[in-house]
Amino acid sequence: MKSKIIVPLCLAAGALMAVLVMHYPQIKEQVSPSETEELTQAEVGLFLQFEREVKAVRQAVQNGIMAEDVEYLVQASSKSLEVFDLLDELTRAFPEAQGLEKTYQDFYAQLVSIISLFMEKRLERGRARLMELEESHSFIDGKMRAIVDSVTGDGCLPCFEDLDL
Amino acid sequence: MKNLCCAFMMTLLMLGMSEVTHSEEPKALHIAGATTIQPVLESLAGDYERKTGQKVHVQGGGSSTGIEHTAQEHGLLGAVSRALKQEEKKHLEYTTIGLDALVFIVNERNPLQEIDRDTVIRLFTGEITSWNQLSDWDRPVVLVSKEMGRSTLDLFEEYTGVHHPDNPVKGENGQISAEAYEIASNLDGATLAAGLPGAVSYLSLGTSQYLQNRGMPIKILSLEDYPMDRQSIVSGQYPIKRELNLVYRPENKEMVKDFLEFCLGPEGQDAVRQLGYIPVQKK
Repeated sequence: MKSKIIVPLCLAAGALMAVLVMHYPQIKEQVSPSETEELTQAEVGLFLQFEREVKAVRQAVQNGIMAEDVEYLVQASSKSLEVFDLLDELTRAFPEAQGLEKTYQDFYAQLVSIISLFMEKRLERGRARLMELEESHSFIDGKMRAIVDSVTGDGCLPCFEDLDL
Repeated sequence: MKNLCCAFMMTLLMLGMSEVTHSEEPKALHIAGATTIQPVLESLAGDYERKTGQKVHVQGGGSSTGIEHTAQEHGLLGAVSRALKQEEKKHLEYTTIGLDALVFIVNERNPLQEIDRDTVIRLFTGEITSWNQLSDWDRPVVLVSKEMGRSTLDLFEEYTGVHHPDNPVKGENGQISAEAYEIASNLDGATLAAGLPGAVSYLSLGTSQYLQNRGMPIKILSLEDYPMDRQSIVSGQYPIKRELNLVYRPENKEMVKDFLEFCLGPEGQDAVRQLGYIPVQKK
């Protein structure tokens, strides 16, 4: 069962990475430094932490399914609450982030619905749901970048590599 | 030559015996149905196999699947976490291995401690949309409900008179809001309610207590001051209790008898207790 979960995930993650890598230079070139407004390091940190926490939630649910261990699901839900704390902070700092909470909520609900599909061995629907989840995760990334874009004119979070975090 | 013949005959006899032993190995027992009962059966499967040599395969799917699985002879036993309906009793027999209750849960961050039927109805029909309509906590209400075919949903509908939108029978108190997230198993429900601060859901008491003890950030609300202990549930004082049943076709009784006895024996009832449910046999 592990390979049935991991293979489509790896393929989807690989495809996503490839798209990002292909588009990264273009996005970077499109935005000239004069158009951007600098985010503070703390604000950048918030976005990056949000990105990390969402990935951690997803990882914990996947581990829970593969290991059939409730501990991971406890970990996933606790991490999810941390995501909401971050969303509160983000919304306070950027009113544009208001809609991000509902997007994340839908993503989490979709993620959790996969647990039963695999535990009840409804594998076909489980795999289909995994693919939908990939789109949902990309949608969150897209929304987050749109927020950064509306604030700074630069929606490319990997550009923060230049900052000393 | 005589010795050689003897050895040949012995070999044939041993081969024959091993064939007999092989063919007498009991067939695996396939059980499907209620995810509420699934953890109990899974925890017993290994012990039962060690004791009898018979393998037990357990699959979820919900109580409706449990009935279908047995009635259509996909397997010998079905798990059904509710009392059987009259028409089901006509062609299926059952053994109750434990009792459970339905409880309402919220995220542990929610300050609410108790709930009543009227509030449940107003929440699940979408009339109450923010927790600040009930407390000073300002969070949108997030509804987590069950999909059709789950006995937890049947119990909820019976208690509240609020029905699933796809239920052909309209609920006397309306239908569950279209905004509700729909989940399949109790584990999904708990994980969802635990990860969303504004969530409210209804779940098995046993599963909720078990997961809460393992650290799941959920809170079980007290319902209209009913105590949630064994006595209250067994006596029927608590309003939403249910049976945990294993169903089978009458003609298959002999084939499932040993497993049912095992479930009602000390090991079986201990598993029921350890997973948060109420055993039917006193210790």
